[in-house]
Amino acid sequence: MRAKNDEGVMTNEPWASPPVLRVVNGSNVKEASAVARAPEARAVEVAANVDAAEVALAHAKTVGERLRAGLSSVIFGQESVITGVVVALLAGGHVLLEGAPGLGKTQIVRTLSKLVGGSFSRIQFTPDLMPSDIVGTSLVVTTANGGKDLAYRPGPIFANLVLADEINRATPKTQSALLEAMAERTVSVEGQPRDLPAPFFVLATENPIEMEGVFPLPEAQLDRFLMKLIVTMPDLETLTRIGARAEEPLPPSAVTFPDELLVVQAAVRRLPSAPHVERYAAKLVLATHAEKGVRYGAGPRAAQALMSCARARAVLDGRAAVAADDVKAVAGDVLRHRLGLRFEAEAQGLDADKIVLQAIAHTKVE
Amino acid sequence: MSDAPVSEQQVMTPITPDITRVRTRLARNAGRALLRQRARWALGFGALLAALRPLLWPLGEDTALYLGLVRAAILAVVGFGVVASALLIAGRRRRPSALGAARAVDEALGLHEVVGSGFAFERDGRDQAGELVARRRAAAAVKGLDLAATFPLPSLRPARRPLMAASIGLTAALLLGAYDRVLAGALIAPPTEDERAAAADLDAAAQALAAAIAPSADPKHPEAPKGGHANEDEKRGPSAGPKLVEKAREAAKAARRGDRQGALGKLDSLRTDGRKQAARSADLKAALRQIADALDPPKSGGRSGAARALDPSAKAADAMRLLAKKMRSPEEAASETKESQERTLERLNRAGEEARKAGGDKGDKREQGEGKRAAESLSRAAEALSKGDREAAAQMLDQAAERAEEMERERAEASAEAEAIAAMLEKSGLLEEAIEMAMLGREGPGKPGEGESLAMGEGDGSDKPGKGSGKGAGKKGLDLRRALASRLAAIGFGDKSSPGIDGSGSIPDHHRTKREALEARGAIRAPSEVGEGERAIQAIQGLGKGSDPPKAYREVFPSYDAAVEEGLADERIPAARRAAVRKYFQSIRPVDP
Repeated sequence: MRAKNDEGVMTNEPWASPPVLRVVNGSNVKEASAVARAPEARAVEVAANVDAAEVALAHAKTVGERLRAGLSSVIFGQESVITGVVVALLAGGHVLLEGAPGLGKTQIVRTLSKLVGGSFSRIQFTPDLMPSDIVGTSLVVTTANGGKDLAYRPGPIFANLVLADEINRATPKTQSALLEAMAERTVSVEGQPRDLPAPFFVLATENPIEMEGVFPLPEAQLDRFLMKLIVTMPDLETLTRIGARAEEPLPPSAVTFPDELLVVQAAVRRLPSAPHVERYAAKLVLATHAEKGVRYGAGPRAAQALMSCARARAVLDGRAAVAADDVKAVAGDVLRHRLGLRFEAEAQGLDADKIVLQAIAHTKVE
Repeated sequence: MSDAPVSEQQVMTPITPDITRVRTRLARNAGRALLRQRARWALGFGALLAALRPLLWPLGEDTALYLGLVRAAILAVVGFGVVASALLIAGRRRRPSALGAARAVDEALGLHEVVGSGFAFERDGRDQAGELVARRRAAAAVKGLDLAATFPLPSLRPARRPLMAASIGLTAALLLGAYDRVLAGALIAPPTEDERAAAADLDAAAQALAAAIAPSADPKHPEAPKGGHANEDEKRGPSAGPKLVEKAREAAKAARRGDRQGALGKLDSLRTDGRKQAARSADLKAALRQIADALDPPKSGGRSGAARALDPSAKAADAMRLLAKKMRSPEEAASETKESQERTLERLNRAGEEARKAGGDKGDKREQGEGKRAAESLSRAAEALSKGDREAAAQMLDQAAERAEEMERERAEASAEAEAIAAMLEKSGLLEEAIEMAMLGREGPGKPGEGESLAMGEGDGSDKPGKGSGKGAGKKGLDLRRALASRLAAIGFGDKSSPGIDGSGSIPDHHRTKREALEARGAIRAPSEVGEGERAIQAIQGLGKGSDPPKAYREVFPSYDAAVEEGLADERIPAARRAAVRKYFQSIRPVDP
């Protein structure tokens, strides 16, 4: 459902207006309607656009549901994580997963890559990992005529879905190479920028157990992750099902493709939000500063992240506008890693999740 | 050509009107919710007003007693209504905003910001494709919205326990509000037959007094003369007769109503004013006699002042005319000496002084007016005579004679009224007795053997200790007063010809009766003043035979002893009479065994 805009550039707008004739008038080129549009025609056009928007929303919901269903068929007992991952994917952000080894973090990304139909790469972060190991490097190659030349070999980051395993084990320099790429969507190698593929989704993991010899991500870097999801130990029933599964599940077939995913992401970005919902998200972010025990609260990027994730969640539910409940639902995952607590609060057993819950309780929509 | 967005009405239906209806409904719900929440305030205020009914809306004397409950109920309803209305209004002001109403629809229908977002987009005029989708969905959600089913009105029906508590509280408040001293008294001790009969008698006596009142004395009387004479009467002021009639009727009405305290108060006032009015005739007669004596002193060996007291008082006017005639007579003028002139002047001055006394502060305006005018005329006559103008003196004397005749006419009117007043006072005394007996719990005639009597020289109870054999307590109290009246008359207090001391027992000797100053006019009345002491009706065994009285009498008497001493110290009792009064009370003092 891509169309060219008035400048002739292919856009992802599902309801882009049809091209108009260009009237060349001297040195100035002005756009003008080739045909005088009567009100009835405009009404028809508006109605068509509205219907197209409905179709786009329905399509985005379908894609999201397929992704969620596909992940749930492989990953047992992690519904909230699955939903969070799909929300982040549709919102165009990156996810930080925290959980003990063996809980399926890698499996989630692998399965997601199959479902999306894009390329996948896994980067295991170790203390000796270099930035070039991530972004790629130039190698000396022998040319056809026997000469020597430098050829750029892309690193594993050049994939649609990237799993950065145990990111906190790598050095800050290596971490920043990844984080920069996540933010810029480009890498610079030998001064030359190279675009990363679209869609580009990074799922980084942190091992909360083996904390010795690690390099925890600084707060400023953590802020680049749209969400931080906590992978918990499954319950007895889920564990039983996992243990009873004798064979590795068959990799699921693709339910979408990268270009389609881009369209869905555009549809998510276009989802409207009422002023009072936007105001509520902002009030929620400010409320994290006022809670007792907080050393520093969430910033403006958190407000953007809240709205992005809320839109994605609304699309997954098939709604045409963002609701305050969407903001409340994603607030925990979005704000968890953006708060700093005082030592006294941590000593009293407070954590970021409780702070967020308190902020939600103290903040009214109107 | 305009590139303005196409009207969304061509795409969807606006939802603002529906949201407005929802908002109105929610306002109404909020009012009822607040009323339900704070219903106890409304009930409490209503109950408070009902309980305060005696202060806020007291019953008048002519108001039916059952209206106390009605008024209390009205106040309760008004109080509840005022607070309930205020709560409803305050609740309505808590209505949500339009956006809040839209979100309330979402909450009621289980939606997530469908109506709220759609309303917000419509309100802000946002019409991009995505927003139009949201608005269309909102319109679909509110289409056909049943307000009554979606937002049911909060029920005002209270729970059982609060309802019972409110009922009990309200009932108590209504009873408090319905309480009226008179009503309570009438319910606990309804008017007795004696009281009703005495009230009817008093009414009849008042009617008789009203008939006896001269038309000229009452400007409002239908037969009152019009014109100058009426103007004269108006100047002088109306007689107190009509007021007495009114007071008597009010007292009878109060007694029939069961308002014993009120009736006693009115009877007390009636008695005071009635005595004054009854004495008016005698006062006028005495004054005219004094004037006549001053102008024409009785010669030694002639009729004494006491004898003259029995004569009509028209002599004053005759004396004045006679003197005027003498003033005009040339023979008298020629034969008059300086001494005789001085005697005449002295008589005139004395007569004028007596006339001025007669027109003092006592009596009604008419008396004061005529007496003062007569005194003024006499004074001018004396002045003219002293200047040698006999003719002017004669004219002044003629004027004085007219004033004296006017006084005589008033005396005649007062005399006619006095009899009716006396009868009315007697009936008022009977009514007072009946009321007091009812208050003491004694029944009227026909119930022998109840209570005890204090009979001194008369009456019963002398043979049987602690028992009276009189018929009804009313008669026994009557005996006491008769005995006291007889004693007082014997020592010079009281006048057998005066109303009340004729055996009818209507001399009032209850508390609150003011004692009037006693003046030696030949007829002395001695109304007594009794304080708020105890009343004990006890048999005094063998008192008449000289044996010792029972112990109870010795205990009761000291309270009266103090009153007696206080009374004796009062300077209004003539010094010549104090010894006699003291002697009397000494005679009834109990002797220690």
